[in-house]
Amino acid sequence: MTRHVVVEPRGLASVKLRILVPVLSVLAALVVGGLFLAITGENPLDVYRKMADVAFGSANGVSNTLISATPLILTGVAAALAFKMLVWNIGGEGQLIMGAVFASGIAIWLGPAAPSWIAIPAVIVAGGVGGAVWASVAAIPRVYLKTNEIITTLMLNFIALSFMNFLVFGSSSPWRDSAVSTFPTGQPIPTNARLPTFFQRLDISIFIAFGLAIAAWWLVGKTRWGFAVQVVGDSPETAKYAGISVPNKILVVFLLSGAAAGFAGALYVAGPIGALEPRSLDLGLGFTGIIVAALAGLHLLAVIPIAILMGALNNSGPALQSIGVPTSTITMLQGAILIFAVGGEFFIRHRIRLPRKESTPQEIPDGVEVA
Amino acid sequence: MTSKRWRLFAVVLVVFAMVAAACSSDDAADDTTTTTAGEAPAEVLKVAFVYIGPVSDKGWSWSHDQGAKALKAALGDAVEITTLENIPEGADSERVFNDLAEEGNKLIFGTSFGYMDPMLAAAESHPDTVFMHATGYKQSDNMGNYFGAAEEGRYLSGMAAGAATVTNKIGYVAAFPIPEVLRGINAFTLGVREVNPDAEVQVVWTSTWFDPPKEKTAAESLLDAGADVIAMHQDSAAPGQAAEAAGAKWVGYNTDMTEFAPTAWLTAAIWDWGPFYIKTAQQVIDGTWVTEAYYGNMADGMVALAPFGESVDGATRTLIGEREAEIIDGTFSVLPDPIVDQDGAERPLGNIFEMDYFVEGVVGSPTG
Amino acid sequence: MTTDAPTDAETDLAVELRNVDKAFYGVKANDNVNFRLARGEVHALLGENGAGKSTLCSILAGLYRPDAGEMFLNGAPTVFKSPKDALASGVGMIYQHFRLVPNLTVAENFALGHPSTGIRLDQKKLQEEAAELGDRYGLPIDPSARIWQLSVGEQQRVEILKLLYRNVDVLILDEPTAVLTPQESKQLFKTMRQMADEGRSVIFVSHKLREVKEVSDSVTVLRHGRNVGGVATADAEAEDLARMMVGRDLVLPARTDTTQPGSVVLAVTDLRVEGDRGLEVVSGVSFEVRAGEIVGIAGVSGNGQRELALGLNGLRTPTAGRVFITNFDVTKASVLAHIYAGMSYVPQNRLGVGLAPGLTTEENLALKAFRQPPYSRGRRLVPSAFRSEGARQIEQYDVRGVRPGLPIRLLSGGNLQKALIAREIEMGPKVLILHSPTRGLDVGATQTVRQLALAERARGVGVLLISEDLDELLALSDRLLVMYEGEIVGQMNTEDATAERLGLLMAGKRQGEQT
Repeated sequence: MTRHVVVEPRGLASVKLRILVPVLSVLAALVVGGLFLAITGENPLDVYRKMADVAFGSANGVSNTLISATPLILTGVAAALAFKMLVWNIGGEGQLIMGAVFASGIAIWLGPAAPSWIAIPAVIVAGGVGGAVWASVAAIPRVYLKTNEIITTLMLNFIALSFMNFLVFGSSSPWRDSAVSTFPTGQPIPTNARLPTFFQRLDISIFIAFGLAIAAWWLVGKTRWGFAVQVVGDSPETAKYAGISVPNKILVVFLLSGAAAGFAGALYVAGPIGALEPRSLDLGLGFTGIIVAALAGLHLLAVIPIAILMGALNNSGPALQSIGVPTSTITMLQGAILIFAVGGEFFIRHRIRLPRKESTPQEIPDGVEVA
Repeated sequence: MTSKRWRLFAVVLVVFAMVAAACSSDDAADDTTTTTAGEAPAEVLKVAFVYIGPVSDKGWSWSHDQGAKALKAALGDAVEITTLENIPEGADSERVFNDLAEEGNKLIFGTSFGYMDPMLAAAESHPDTVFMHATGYKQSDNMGNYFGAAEEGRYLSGMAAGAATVTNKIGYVAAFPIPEVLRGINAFTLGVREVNPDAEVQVVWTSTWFDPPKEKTAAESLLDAGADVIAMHQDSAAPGQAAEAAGAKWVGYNTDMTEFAPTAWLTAAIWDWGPFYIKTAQQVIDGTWVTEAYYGNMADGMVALAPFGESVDGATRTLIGEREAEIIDGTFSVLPDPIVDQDGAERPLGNIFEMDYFVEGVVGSPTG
Repeated sequence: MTTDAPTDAETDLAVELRNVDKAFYGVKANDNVNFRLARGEVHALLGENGAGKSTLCSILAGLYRPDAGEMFLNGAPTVFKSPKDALASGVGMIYQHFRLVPNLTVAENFALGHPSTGIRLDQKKLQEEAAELGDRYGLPIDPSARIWQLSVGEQQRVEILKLLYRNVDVLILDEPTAVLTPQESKQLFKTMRQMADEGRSVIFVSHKLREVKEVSDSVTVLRHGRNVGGVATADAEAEDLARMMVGRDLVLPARTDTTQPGSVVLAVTDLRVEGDRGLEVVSGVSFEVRAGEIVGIAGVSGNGQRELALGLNGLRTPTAGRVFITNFDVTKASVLAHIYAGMSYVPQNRLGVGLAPGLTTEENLALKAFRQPPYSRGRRLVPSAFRSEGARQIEQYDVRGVRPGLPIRLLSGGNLQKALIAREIEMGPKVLILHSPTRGLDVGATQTVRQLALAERARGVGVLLISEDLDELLALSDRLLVMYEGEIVGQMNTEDATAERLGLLMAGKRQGEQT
């Protein structure tokens, strides 16, 4: 009797499995990645040591990891929030940019005289408003005219990017630094509107990002409104039947999603960058947020650790280059780690068995019992 | 809420952190051994280069990497070189500059304009490290900057273009309307019109330094409008490939890009950073380095003219050679004072680092 | 009751399963099941929804492997590695959802996966063989027709003929009559008999007693994954089989009293509602439902019943007419206003309209009441109330198979309906609209649903029962309305109604036209 492998869905995975599988999938990623590194002539141990050290091995490393994670937490929340509602907002990129434009705009408009306790909240709120306004350009037609938001949000990304480039590169707008004629750069945000740092280069934006992610999670998971949102996300027909206003929920979620991405833009310009700098904002943070949300299974809290993991992977790149690993190798290694992180999920959801034939047949009387 | 997937990833993260903690303690031990080992023989200067693009671009970043290689070849074991490519500007670059300084690099070159503020911040927190920033202007006690007079090479390449054009229309694919680029266009145009007073230079702005498809599209639009020579201020070879495909001629930039469009290739203003990098490293080793804004030129070799393509005839080569000699010995200035602007009016040259006008013969707007 | 298997000689057994166990998500779908299939018999597998019939068939067909137990094929121990393996051994199954390629012809579907099929197809020969096979078994089929052009009944024929083309000895038919008209069912039974007479064995899965009595030689009854009986069909009365199936005496509840209805709770005058394509499909309907009565709406599906229900619930705004719930005019009011006015609605489409498939049972039970205490306090949800209220309702309404944290869609049809009705009743309605409440449910669940409807009536709720099932309408309703092409074409007290009279009205013969 030949054996064969059976793959079947599993119900609820045991706690043991939930711990074991991720550990094993990370180990597997490291082993496969290590083989790959060895083939390309690198010492895997050195590489891993370096990666781990860069990401978490020092106070500086942790600080840098969190700086990179901050915008990803918010763009991840933006994507997860929308996707939960079957709203395919892939415009996080554009909403982030518009958030940055609004935030830097208000900071510049308020000027250096405004006290920080006014300037900083104003900048953050402006970022959220900017993201939401930009999202509304796609959200309103989506809700009332049933336009396809995938296309509109995607196109709006390009428009936002062009608009930002225009503000800084193509015009003498207030966003452009008029003091510099050699090269077009963003007008620096007055220091009173910059987010204060508290540890290395880490500023308070990490707490704001954590707070907003937790707030989003609480809103969706713990409130009446959030419950209605979940029903709409699962089955719009059922929601309508249960007396829930579907267009209203979709609109609000779409705008909140845009606001989350807008917050990311605001925190980025008021935090580490300090100006509306097109070349520092055009990094695909909105798109990476979609990956973060997908890896997090659209769970609004899971977005946080995933964003930190992505931030760590991002930062390990230059560090690995400095020990001589080619960039292409690094990209592939980062990909392998992400794939295994996702692959592990399969083992949590499915059971793989090697069935054996029963060895002890026994005679069963042909009787029947009837209740 | 059926998904409890976040637990999984929390665990992944914890594991990652544990692995990190375990490894980093080893690493610390390793670090001490390497530094003590490094101190034992004569001083080794650790030098780092940070590039905005990939070294394989065969353009701007590649030219700097050639300089890094020349530095290694010249000083050998006295220097230890780290190169990092594809480093975005902004928050990422500041982290990278800090990390490089903390890893013991005492001389760090950053080769993109947008690195200026991040480098300045890193320079402030690492006063023992020398930071050198290409193309910018901000300085501090331990941060200098450097650039070169590409316009000299551009003037000569303009002569080749002026001789090559039949339609008397030359297309120029340009990145941003900033003084550096305007200088180049103006010098190029003056070179064109020295050999061909009837030719015009049509400028198209791309608003990007490196975006091959966009650059290609821009070049094609110029070719469609009748240009038969394409010049460029971009980091990729895409405009040249467009010219090659259309049977037109091409003036490149940054490096010898003959291989991308062998038939179209005329020549280009190119960079040779090697001599400057060697000189700067030697100054740091000797302890003689001081903050300066260095502006190289053809005389000191930072700017050069690439080898000519096959279609450049002997007479033109001779003519260009004579001008090159005059530029190097200082008897010819590529940007005259006074100068004739786009409207045909004579005006003082002014500060070339704040140039904001086009010269006669350029078609297009100097403000983008 | 104890019986022997209908065939005695071990060698006559085509297939035997001994002590088979199979669990999903830790729930035993088959628990120590024994099953003996003789050669040349039609063997009915009887059980309620979720009793483990489909699982047992899938084990026989090689789709699942048992967790424990043994299988014998023609007396020899056998393990099927896959459905393909089973097919090669002569065991084939026809699933409830057909596995045909819609864009290929009947003949091409025959050839698909057939071991003798090479690279080239001899279309002509194939078509001849297919046609001949169809004629022989009384299942005429056009072999050149493409699958998508065929009716469901015809597609089923193709599935059967496909197995016969593969010359299987054991055919498993999983609820084949569910998709057939009575005439088609009759023809299918003939074919099944013919196959048995040829010495093949047929397993016929059903929960319809009448069919089992009609066609089978022997019966195995499953309940909660265990086999509770194996009898020769002739030896068992339908009542015995029913009792074995549900585990208790089975009496479908019916209205027994004639209470005096109370005040009007639902008043509809001249209601007009548009269909999905913007055409009027409810054309001036007027009726009343009083507290404590069940009003039945009979009619062939598609005569405006669905739109009537949508219009009564605010899910589709009527174009004309008025709807009152007690004293409130809700004609143009929102769905939520209808709910607050005391309207409960059990829609025909349970999963997807009545229930949110991906949410848990507890969440679905709170789908309407989540706005108020105890489910929420102010704007915040109270998770403990979801748990405690959920547990109470699951217990009280006997919703089975609920596992914490898992989506409700995993429940069987009967349990879905119990959960749905539970929620609607718990809203404390004044009006309860039930649309095809027992369609597709097994006897046990049907019994529960009918009891719940009668209990609501007894509590003074006005119940509007929209159904195609005349037995159900006659058993439950106090009064009956017949709907035809968007209009009420007849109404009568149930005492005056007969199936024949209703049938005529449903076919469009108006009351006045009857003689």
